[in-house]
Amino acid sequence: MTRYLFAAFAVLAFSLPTSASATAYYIDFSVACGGVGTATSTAFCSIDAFTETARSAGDIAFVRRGKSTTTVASNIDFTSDGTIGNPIIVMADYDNLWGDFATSSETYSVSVATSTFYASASTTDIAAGDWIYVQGDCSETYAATAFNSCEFAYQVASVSGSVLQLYIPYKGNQSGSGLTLRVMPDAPQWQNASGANQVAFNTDSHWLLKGLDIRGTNVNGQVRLIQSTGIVLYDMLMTGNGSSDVGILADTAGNVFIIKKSRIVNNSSGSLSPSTLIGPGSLIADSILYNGLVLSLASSINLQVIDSYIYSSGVAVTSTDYYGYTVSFRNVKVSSEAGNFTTNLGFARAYVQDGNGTLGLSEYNSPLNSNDSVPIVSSTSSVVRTGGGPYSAIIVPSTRVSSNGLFGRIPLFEYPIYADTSSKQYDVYLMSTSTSAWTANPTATELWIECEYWAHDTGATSTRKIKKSTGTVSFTGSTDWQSLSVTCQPSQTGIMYLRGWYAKTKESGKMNEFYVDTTPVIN
Amino acid sequence: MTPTQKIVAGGAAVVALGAGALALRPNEPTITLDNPQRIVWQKPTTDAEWAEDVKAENFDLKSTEVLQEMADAHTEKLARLEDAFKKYEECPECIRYDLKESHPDWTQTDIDNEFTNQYNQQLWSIEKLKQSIERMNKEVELRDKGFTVPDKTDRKGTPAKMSDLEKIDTKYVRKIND
Repeated sequence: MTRYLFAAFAVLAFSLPTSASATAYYIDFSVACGGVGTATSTAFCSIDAFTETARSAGDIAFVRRGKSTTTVASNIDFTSDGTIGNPIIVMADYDNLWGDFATSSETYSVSVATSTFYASASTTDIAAGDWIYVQGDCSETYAATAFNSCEFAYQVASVSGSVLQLYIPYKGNQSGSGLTLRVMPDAPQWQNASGANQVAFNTDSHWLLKGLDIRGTNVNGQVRLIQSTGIVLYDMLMTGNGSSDVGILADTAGNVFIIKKSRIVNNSSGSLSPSTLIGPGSLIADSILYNGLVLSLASSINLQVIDSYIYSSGVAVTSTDYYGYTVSFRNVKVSSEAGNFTTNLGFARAYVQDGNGTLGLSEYNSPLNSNDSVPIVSSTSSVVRTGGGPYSAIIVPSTRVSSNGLFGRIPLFEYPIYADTSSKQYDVYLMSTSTSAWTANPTATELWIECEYWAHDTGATSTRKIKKSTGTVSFTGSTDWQSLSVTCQPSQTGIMYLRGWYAKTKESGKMNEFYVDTTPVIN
Repeated sequence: MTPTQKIVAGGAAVVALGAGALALRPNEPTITLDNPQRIVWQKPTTDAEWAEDVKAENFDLKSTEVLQEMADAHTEKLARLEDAFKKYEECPECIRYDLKESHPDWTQTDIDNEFTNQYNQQLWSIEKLKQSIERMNKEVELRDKGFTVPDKTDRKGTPAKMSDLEKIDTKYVRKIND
């Protein structure tokens, strides 16, 4: 089973440089229209007034909290593009620009990775819908004109007595008791859930929306992405009315997006429904998708989902063409099973790490899966070798596995090992729980481990060589743990890769399942 | 159904008329026809009118360098959109085919409505970009001829000469804010 290193760039601090050429604007849904938008006292009355006129990269519009605009007659469209380092930004007020924030009367006990704060006394000054942050986690800039990178503001789900509940678990830097909360009004609300308009990105790139409450019912989503790249939705709330609607639809052409710490609620056809050409770098993190992740007709999708919850219909990934997709899930909790991936066509890959909230539960799904809900490789802690690692990989082959050609073999694991130039023997242990699950043992060309190492002389052209094990295991004769070995001696110090492969077609009437101890022994 | 029109007028706020959503009933199309949006613009004819008109997009606040960069960036985007729009005009059935492939559960009416939505949206985007680019270029032209004068001469914020500012009516002094 391969170890996966997920790119973490997207979950690092969202700190954008202040552009020297950016102009700050202000939006207040409660004011009359006609303002020039350059001060809170002359605010625009709508988001459209900012997005639908030409803006320069880095321009930012702050939207007053606690206000709503429910008489919406048209989509929010976009005219300009930002740049990769300088998106155009529409964000709720995180800086108390309108002087309507407050500090909690009570103090709170706070723990990381929980959704519950406990007040020193019954809470009367915070209500569901408010946004809070723990003092010390964020800062407010008087008369701000630049992006507020506050990462740890959270919407309150409920308040009951001295118990304050958040929707999304707290991940800030404060802990303990006696902590004060900064209280911000509700996110600015655009449209009611019964409205038909949408936020429509169409060939628009590098926009960042933060802290807005977007509602509507539209089969094409509260938010629609068509050929739009570099779109960031952060601290967003997207709500449908549960009638033939989708939260976010990304289709028609290539899109690249990040959804961070957002909630997508009450959409009957799925919280997120991307279907085509989701580009590398697309990410969903720290978010809740209440109505499932529906990757229908998944084609050329590259998507990572990290530290999120997917409820209702869970994850359904269906590929119907030969381009397939690559999706990676890390610590994603789903309401039903760990994932349901249809990978029977093309080159679809689905990786699951710490699946469904279970530490160490990992899966690899590929076109070699025997069926949609059974991954070809997954981890288990219930069958382990004494003296070996805490997890084993269980391999469930299918009739699609084959030693003919390179796509038909199962990658069991790949470990990068920093190796010197000494000769070392690498042992990997394998076991089958039943001798009757096999008719014939896998040959050395059907089950092997290999090391790939530097093999060139100093000063020569850098070259790696692969050396494979030549031994075999006897699954027909024993249910003991047995090892395959390979001895390698790199010519240069550096990273060596230890891999395992399986390429035996599943025998008729036999399960052919086996376990791999995920901790190699190095002698 | 009365289509909704979004009217973008020079210097005026956005005005919306009517409503455009279809009620959802069994066997009815599920794709709503969005607003066929148009750019309605009383195009200026004098420098004074232009000087006022460009404020609709806050170009009076932008330094000249930034305006020029914006003009370049938006011109490039316009070229991309116009190129992409060729498919809508020259092969609408190609777009409809792609929509059908992506949404096999849609009816033909849904597909036609969505095509119309996207066509209108693309057209609006192109028209809007043309308007914006013309305004940007016009503001730069006004500054070149001294009709308007920015109070800062570069993006570093170097103040303009008082003698330049005093030559014109104060209403044509651009208070740069970028």
